[in-house]
Amino acid sequence: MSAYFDILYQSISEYEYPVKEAFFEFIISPCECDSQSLVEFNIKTSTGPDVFTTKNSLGFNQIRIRPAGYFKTFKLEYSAKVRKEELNNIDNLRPSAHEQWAEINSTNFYIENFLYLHTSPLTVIPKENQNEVLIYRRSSDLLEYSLELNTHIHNLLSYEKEVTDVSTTAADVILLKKGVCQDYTHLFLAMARSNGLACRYVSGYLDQGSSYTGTGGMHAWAEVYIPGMGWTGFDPTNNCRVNIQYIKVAHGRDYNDCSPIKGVLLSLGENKTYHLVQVSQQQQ
Amino acid sequence: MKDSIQLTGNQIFSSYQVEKNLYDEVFDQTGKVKKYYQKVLSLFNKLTLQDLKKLNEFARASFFNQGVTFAVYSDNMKGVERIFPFDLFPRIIPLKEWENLEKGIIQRNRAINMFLYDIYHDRKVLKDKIVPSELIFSSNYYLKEMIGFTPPGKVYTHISGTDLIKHKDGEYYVLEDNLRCPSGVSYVLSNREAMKRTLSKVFSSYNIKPVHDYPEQLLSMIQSVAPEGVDNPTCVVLTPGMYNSAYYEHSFLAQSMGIQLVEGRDLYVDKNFVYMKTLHGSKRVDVIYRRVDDDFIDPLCFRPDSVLGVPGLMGCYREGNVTIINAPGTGAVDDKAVYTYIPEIIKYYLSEEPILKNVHTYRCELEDDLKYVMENMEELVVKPVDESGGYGIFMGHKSTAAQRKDFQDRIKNNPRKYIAQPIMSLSVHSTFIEESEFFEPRHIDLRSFCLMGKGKDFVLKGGLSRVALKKGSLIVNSSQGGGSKDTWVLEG
Repeated sequence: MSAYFDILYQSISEYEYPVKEAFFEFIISPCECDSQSLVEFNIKTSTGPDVFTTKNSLGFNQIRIRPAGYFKTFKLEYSAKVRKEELNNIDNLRPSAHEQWAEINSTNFYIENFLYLHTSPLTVIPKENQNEVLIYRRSSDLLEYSLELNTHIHNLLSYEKEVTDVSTTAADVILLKKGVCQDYTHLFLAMARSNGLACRYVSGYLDQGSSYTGTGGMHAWAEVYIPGMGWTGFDPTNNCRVNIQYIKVAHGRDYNDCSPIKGVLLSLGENKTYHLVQVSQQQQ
Repeated sequence: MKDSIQLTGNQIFSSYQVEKNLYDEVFDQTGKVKKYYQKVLSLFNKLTLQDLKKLNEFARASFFNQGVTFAVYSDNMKGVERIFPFDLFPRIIPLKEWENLEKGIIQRNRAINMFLYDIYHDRKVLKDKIVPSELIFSSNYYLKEMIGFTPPGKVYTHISGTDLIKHKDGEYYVLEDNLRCPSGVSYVLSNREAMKRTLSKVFSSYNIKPVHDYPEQLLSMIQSVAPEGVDNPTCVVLTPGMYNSAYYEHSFLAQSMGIQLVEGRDLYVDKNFVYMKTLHGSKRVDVIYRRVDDDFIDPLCFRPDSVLGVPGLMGCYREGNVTIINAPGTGAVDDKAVYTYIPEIIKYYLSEEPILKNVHTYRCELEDDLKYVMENMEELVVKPVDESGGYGIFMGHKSTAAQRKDFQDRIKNNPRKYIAQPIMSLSVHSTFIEESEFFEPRHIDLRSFCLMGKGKDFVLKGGLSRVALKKGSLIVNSSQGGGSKDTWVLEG
């Protein structure tokens, strides 16, 4: 069974004084992966047609723009159609817990996946706060453990906007006990990694026809490597496993590898950026 | 028993002592001058002290006129421009000895490039457990941005500086590999220039291998690694700016190669290409010889607060539209802990015995080595693995009990950060000492310069012989009060 989604993305930045020179990198377009393909993609910007893409070091599309001339407003808009396949239910294909751990503890696994086994600046928790983290390992089956961790974090934190920002670390979140999707995800990654699991940060979109939290802008969730199943998605914000309604953009060690906009500009004064995201499932 | 020999009959050598437990480059153990030094020594012997002082002034003027300076970073002398102290007595390496060194340097650097390619691709060397994977992955200089990317010609270390010493056994040993755009080559060229201006006659009676072709060799290497399909590449030298300690060298190299010297603000990225702003509009740039550290080359990829780099540069590099020299991420190998594995790395990739020796190294992260280091602090030099320029080094034989205790604590707190080596007795070389107005033996090392391009290996015939001017000192870095000598590779 497949489903089609329409995505409309707008980003508008307004500057107090004219910008003389700027360079932006966006990681916002749906990626192509096993269960997802891009059927249509149209992009335009307010400063002209010159939009270039490259792959970042992890293989995800980076849209690169150097707006020509002076500007006070910069607007980027894209529309896309994404085809998603229903994920196969392969939970039962995984080997025993003992074999799972043997695989993820092997040298070769470490060499191939060290990026997602090591903690990163945003997913590190200092020793004195690790008690809660390390105690938390009731189940040794990786799927069961990941589901338990997912629920544990969901219950530990309360969803609240504007109490955290993009520099908030898992160590901050564990004390603050509130935040948004990227904070839930960073804490998930920090705990899973300190328990020896390989896991990665995922950015993307959620179907707005669903009742999930976090559909207003870009969403974030985690993927854990489970032997026999491969990379498996968990969304601690919504206490569920990732399904057909999750549209992936990119993954990385943490938010820094997936941040939707990065830029350098020569300008003075204040600036404001607004985002608008619309995701809807096409009625067949 | 006497452990030194007094030279006789030479005016300005009259207080020269040949130490029995050190290797003297000029004199043998009986105090007899070595064959290849005879001519040059007899020249110096004819000079009076006044002559020599005058020549020294000439040499100094030559450096002033060439504008050769460097800046020192230390607590009380922030950024003061200085002349690199220069000694007129040249260091001579016979051609036969040099040829072996050259082979060894190329062998070492070829293996290092294969190792870099491997750790950024299949990582076979780690899977085969030749080098511990943790050592590479925990390095701050190992860049995930380089994983899976192949630079033109698989060359990573286009420019490298291998530091060598001669031990009392008369053998050369590699002390370290400098793979992050090492500096110093401009001194080699200006030392030679100063020698020519000062002692022009000597040059006609010796068959000295030239060094003046270095800028030409450097440019042709830079052009050889231009992006695919670019026939007449535009190449630039990227400098952090005039406040950098090696700014003189950056401008010297750009000028002598006849290419532009640029700062980050002179470059920008558009349509996945790099452009340079010029008086005549924009010009596409194909190869960047950067003297800016990895961390600073692209604020969108690495340190976001950097203003020394070019936003978006790494994307153009990964697209293959521009070549960066040296490739980012080479620092993962010039780590002092990785150094200890280089002999194994050479055997692994080339199936050859290493031509150049490594100094035995104790890795504090290994339990047995740590124990040995803790118990033998007085016999060892302890170095942090990730600092350059001779900063933060512990010298066991000159330490006080308190210093030893302090360093033991530091090592215990972070064993991964330290390695230790037996104290190598660097060879000594006659050097004119202004305070005593005599020639005296001083410790020296040798920084060699190697270029690697597409189908091109080149080692500069000579190099920078650095001198520790303080009596008994083993630290030759210019930032720590070292000087230098012209280095002659000599035929016959």
